Parts: sequence; structure tokens; C-alpha cells
Amino acid sequence: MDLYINCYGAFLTSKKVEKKQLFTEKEIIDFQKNKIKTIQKYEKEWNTKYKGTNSKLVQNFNLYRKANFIIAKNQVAQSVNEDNLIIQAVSLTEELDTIINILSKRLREWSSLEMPELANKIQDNEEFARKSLKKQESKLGKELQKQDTNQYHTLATKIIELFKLKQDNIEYLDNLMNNYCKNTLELAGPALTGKLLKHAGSLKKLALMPASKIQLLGAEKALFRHLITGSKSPKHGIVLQHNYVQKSKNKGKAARILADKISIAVKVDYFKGEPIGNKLKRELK
Amino acid sequence: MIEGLLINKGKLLTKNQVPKKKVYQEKLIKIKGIEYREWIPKHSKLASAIKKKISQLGIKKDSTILYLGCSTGTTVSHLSDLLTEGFIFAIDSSPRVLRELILMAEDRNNIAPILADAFQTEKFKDKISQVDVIYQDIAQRNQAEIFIENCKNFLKKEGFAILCLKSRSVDVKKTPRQVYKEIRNQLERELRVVDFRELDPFQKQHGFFVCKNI
Repeated sequence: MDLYINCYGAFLTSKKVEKKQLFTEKEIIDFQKNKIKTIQKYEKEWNTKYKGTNSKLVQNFNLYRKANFIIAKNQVAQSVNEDNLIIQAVSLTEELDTIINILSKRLREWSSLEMPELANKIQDNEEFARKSLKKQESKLGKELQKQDTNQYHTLATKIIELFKLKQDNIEYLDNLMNNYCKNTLELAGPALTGKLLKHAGSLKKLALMPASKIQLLGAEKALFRHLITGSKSPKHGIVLQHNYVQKSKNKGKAARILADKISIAVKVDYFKGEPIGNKLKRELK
Repeated sequence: MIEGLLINKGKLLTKNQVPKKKVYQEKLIKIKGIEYREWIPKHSKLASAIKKKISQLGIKKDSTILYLGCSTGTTVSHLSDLLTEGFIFAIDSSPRVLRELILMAEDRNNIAPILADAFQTEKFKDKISQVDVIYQDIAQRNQAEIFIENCKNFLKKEGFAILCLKSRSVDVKKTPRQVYKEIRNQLERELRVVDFRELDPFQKQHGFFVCKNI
């Protein structure tokens, strides 16, 4: 008598199936997580030896399919982690920037019909959205009717709300990254850390990257052009956004040094080492 | 080519297993009361190989297929239409795309989505059986290695193995022709290559190998 276990049930066989026990949903997931435990349990219960081969495994496609769906769904659900949350939040910040710019441009055009001086005087979009709600005397603009003014006032309030959303999102992201990748955050700042994570896909992938690849993240197009046609190689990708690289005269060299330090910090974050962010930051200067 | 595949006015059509439901942006066409889904060569490498008149594929209506790199399931859905008595093991390593595949596969009775890395055969060895056909579409540098590794482990004798090769991800410096030649040599150490097609203009810089296990 052989005991034979696969993802949807346990079977006791000699030449034919003598005894069988189909798994419940919970047992299917348990079996996936700890196979040996399930095998031992049934070995004890049915007093037999375990013997199963791979080729015989899928005999009943219908039962297998049902069990596999439970496993796959569980795996997909388990795979959601901080990386996904951070990437969503980073993408939102980037998208909000473009949306706010487009809407602010429209608001400037619209309100300029009534008070063109204001749009000319105030450069900052958020401040402009607030000021445009108050009416000002203007000789260059024509006074609009109330229903027309109301329309762009609604737009202005929406833009102010979007600015608030952006601010909240940045705080949320900061909090999230502070727990997840503190060292990198200290070294590179919130904007750059988020973008690096987004480009790499996850902290694990970023931790397994060599520093030279981190240096060129975001410059893939230029890199492949360099490889194929032999044009000048790129010196920096998104690390260019960091203050240290921007201030430096030799940007290629600065980008290389920064990427080295980021590479160390990310590895410490991923493998949960001792805090090193401040030390690396001091070394930059 | 494959049993059940209809060619009408130059369009490839497969009978829709789930009537009135689209999987991607394909068109639904009704002929004599039966609903068909259009199989677009630009979206699917298998369809473009058929358009390029590949001589044999080895896919029958009762085959079991191991599909490596299934993504969101564009090609898988058409194979599922064709395999009325067969079964597909669809493997991908990304949870994001598998999420969409699971939603699609729930309506169909012959797909099993598996979340695994195709190169680590040990990890999904106990979830699948020996198969008649292996189909691989993974854009990675070591795609030929992954292919051979899976053929050794899961392919039946006389079974067919199909490889979609993205030459760009093997080596950007070499021309596609050079890459095809090298990969062909690598494959012929283990398998017999029975047909080869370049998929231009439907898919840029892609090669399509059909091999047989001896």
C-alpha cells in the first residue's frame, strides 16, 4: 500500500485507489506551505509509506484545476507588499504634478479674462489658485457674469484640493519609506528613493543590482544607443536629481560615487543591517 | 495547422469558449451562428508564426501544454479555445500579470495559472505533469537555457517544443541573424529543430523555433 499525496488530495493505492481524502480549501493552502507536515499526518493516520512520482501527479484535471486556483489566488494575494504601495504612491505624486500643471494653465487663461494682472504677478500655482478666488479691480480685463466666474472658481478650489492631496501623499510616502528603507531615504531623499524603487520594481531587485546599474537607471535609451552604435556612454540616470550630483562640477564622477553609496544603503535595508545612512551621507561631503 | 482553427478572408479565427466576452481588443465575429474571436498576429507570436506559414506545431485538440511566460493570457486564451479536450499549465513569475490571467482563466475550463519562476523547475515540479507541447515566450537573456531545462524535465518523448526568441534581449550588439544561428546551435545539442521562421513584420526581431524531442 502506498500513500500518494498531491495538491488536491491524499490517496491510498495498491493497484487501484483504496481510500481517498480530498482536501478542503484550508488544507490545500497548508499543503502548499508545509508539505512534509501533511505527508507525515496522513502517514500516521493511514499507517503507510509515502511514495509519489511527478508524472502521475495530475490525473484529474478538473480537481487539479480547482485546487490550483485556490493556490494561485492565495499566492497572488500574499505577494502584495510595501513595494506595491510605495510604487503606487510614487506614481500618484508624478501624475499629480502633471495634472496640476495642466489645470493651473487653464485657470490662468480663464481668470485672465477678468483680471490679467494677477496671473502675471503671481508665479506660484498654489498661491495663484487661492488669490484667484478673490475679486480684484482690473482695467485690462472685462467683468464677467456671476455664472461664468463661478465656473472657474470651482476649478480653483479643485486645484487647491489637489495640492492638499499631493501634500498628504508625500507625508504618507515618507512615513511608509521610513519604516521600509530608512537608510536609503536618509541618503537619497524621498523623491529619488521612490523613483529608484519604481524603476527597479522592488527593493529586492534594487538590492541585487550592481552600483553601476543604479547609476544608469532611467538612462536605458542612451545606454542601448551607446551599446549598439558606439556613441558616448551616459554617465547618470535619475540619480542626477540628487543635490550632490547637481552641485558637483564633474557630474559623472559624482553620480558614480552617489550610486555606490546608494547601493550599500539599499543592501543594508533589504538584509536588515545596522543603520548606516548618516555615515554614508557624511562620506559624501 | 491546428484542428479547430478557422481561416476566413486572411483572418485567423478561434471558436469563443466564453461567448460575448473579449480578452483583449480583438473582434468578435459570428459565422453561421457560431461566435469566433479574431486572433491578431500583432498581439500573439504564435498567430504571426501561423501567418508566416510554419510547417508544423504539434498542437492537437487533446494536447497538454506547458506555457512559460504566459503574461496576461492573450495567446493562452486562444489556445484554450482550440484545446477542447486538452489542458494548459500557464506559468509566469509576475503576480501583477497573473492576477489578470486568473480572472480570465476562471471562465474557462482548461487553464491552470501557476505563479513561479520558469527557470526554477524544482519549485513547480510537483504541480505539473509531463506534457505534449512546451511553448516558451520569455524575454530574458538566458531564454534558451530556461527552454532546454524545461524540455529535459517535462517534455514527453516525441513531444514538440516551441521557442519564441526575442533576439534583442539575448544580445543587443549582434544582428538578429547571428543570434538565431547561435541559439539554433545551442538547441540542436539537445533537441531536433524541425522548423524556423523570422516573425518580421508582425513582431520585430523575433525568431520562432519549433523543435522535437528525440
